[in-house]
Amino acid sequence: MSSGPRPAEANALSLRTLFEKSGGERYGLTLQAFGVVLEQVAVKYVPQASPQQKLEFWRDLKLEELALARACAAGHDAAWQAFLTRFREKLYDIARGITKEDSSARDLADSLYADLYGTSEKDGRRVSRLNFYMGRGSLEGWLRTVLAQEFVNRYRKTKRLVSLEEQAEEGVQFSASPSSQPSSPLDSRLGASLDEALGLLSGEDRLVLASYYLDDRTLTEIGRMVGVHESTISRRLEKLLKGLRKQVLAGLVSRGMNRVQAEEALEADVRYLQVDVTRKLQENRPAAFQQDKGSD
Amino acid sequence: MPELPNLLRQRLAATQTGETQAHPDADTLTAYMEQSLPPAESKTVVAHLALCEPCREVVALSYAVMEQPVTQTILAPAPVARWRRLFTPVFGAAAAVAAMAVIAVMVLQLPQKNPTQSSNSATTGSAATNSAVTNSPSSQPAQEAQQKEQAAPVESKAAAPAPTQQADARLSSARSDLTSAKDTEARLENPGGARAAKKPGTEIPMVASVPLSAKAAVQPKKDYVNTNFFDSSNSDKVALDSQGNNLPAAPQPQLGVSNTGFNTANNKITMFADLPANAAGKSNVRLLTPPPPPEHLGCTICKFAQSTAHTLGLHSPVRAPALRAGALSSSALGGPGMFSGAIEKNQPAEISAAPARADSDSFAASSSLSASAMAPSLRKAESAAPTWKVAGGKLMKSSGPSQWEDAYPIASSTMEFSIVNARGNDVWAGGSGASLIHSRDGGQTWETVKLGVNATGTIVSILAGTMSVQVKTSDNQTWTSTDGGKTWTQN
Repeated sequence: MSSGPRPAEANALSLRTLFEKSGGERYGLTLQAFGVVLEQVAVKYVPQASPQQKLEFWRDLKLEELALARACAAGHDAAWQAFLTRFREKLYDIARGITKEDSSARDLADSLYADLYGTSEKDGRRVSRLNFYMGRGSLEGWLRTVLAQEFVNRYRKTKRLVSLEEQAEEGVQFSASPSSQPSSPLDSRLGASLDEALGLLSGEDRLVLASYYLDDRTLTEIGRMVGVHESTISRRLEKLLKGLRKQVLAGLVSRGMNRVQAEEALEADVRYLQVDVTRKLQENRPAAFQQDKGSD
Repeated sequence: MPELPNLLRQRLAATQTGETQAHPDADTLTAYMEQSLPPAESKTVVAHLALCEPCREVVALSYAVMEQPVTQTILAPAPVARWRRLFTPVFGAAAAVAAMAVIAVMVLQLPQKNPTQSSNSATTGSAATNSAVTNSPSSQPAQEAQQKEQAAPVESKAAAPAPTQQADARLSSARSDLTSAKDTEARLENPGGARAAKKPGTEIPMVASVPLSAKAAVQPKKDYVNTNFFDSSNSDKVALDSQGNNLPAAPQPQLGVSNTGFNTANNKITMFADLPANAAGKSNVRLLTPPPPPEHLGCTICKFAQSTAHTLGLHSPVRAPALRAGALSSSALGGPGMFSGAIEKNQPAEISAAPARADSDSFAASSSLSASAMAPSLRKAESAAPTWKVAGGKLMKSSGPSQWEDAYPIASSTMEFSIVNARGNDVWAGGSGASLIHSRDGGQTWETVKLGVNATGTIVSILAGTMSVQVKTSDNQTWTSTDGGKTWTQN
């Protein structure tokens, strides 16, 4: 377990209370080690906070699971026994729910177990992935998210690796050359107007639009993601489209088009839009989820 | 806007951030999914999710496998008003029971409101089976027939309860005439189909199957309608009154007395064509000349229809002669010597001893309704009987239509006639000064009849029989003679 700066400003009484609440003593943690963990968490999320704000922030953490995770990362057997008892089966179930297939699920779960135990060493110390758990959410939720990230990364990696036979079956050799793309007769004012209208939307509205039109999520999935009912998502989508059309028309008119021209521009073939859709859609960002790993 | 979603897809994809922006760590995403993030940080996550497709993928996958928390909401009982505590299931059940009890009492009390009818229905109910099997099949279905009679009186005649064999014979003849009687007959053959008998609340007494003595015993104070009085075929049955109440059974006429009284078999009541014939022998019938029927002014269709009817030999419907109330006294219906005091003092200016021939069409039509054997005699009697009237203080006699002549052309006479009574050739006429003349030969010769010395006033009424004559004056004097006018006594 890495030693961090001691929470010198923290109230010793409150720190002890938090330590007793976490039950870290059962897993072999000491009060000082637990204080280092809390200070590490505060530095990451509330670096500019006062001691009182930090204390309030710590109270909202999942202290018991944080102590367990950090005790496991430190290599305490009691902690690992407790961890396996509580999360072993759940981890396989989560992997099975993500991959929808047993062998892949077991492979995914086993690889995560390896990362949680720590197969790599840094400065002569075994690096466990449990050190990145900060206790803001539940340990089970964190494991679920990590499994999902690992699955997405694996999928994107394997998707880029296509055999030559599969490429031939997909007809890549018959695809048109980039030079043969039609010239764009579409007015650039349309894209600008739409970008302007999208920029006026809230983050949640854009999340709804992106999940529906880009990710092809169902209304139920989007509703679960945003935290509202699916019928609300349906109404919101309809309302968003009407508002966007109105704002795009207004933007086109403000850019020198009359009403009829603006209507015709909206009905133009989207293939004439000068957007590098392929590049945008095929972007792969596998390293994004490994940012935490690298930082450790 | 068919193309806007496509445009939107492209622009949204163009705004995706890619690798340039740092992704939220697993802790933050987990806290976001578990809604434990502060609002400001949650908005940041949402904004990133809107631009980052991989993070949306991770969140979507995590949500898919996230166990939904099983929550059980325990609701505390809301404060309830005191009056609402009454509306408990127990209260509702008690109210339902009370309502059923009230309805049951009403249903049980309803037949007891008329104990005679209920007892009668009980009696008829017991006798219904026997009567349905043996005597008349119209015992139980008579109720339905009675109900049907309200809507169609003609139809009900066929279903009339007839306790005698004569009524059965008439009933069978009526069945052959009326098609609707077949339905009733079918019901008669199925006495069990009488639905009304099964319902005590709506039960109609089956009076037809009850013996007359029993009915008289159980209905001593009830009004009744003797429908035979109004029935020409003497096969009618008990009718319901206008309010639909069940009237008790009228006493059925006995076979031995059915030919007396008002038996229409003698054709003495309903056929107005009989009146001239009766008036010839019984001079106590005084009828006014019927007014001419009102014409439809300008109604060419009606005129054309009438002319067509005359051409084709058809006749218009019967128009009954206008009969003054009280003019048809009982003596005209009964035997000789039956005097009637129904004649008023203020006699009309023109009275007649016999009705003028109403109309050839109406007479023929009425004759067609009467028995065919009576028509020749009626026409013969009418043609032979002279008609008498008093007009303008003079006694007029008519031997034919519209041929009137002074029947008492005595120049020295200053007598002003007021009343005439003709009975065949026996004619009595009275007038002012209590003067009275009598003719035994139809007006060819007259003799002056002297009443008593004290007789004063104008004679206003003459009731003449074979030998009995009664005369009333305007001074309220009544003179009676029992020897054909030879001697008079004042009553």
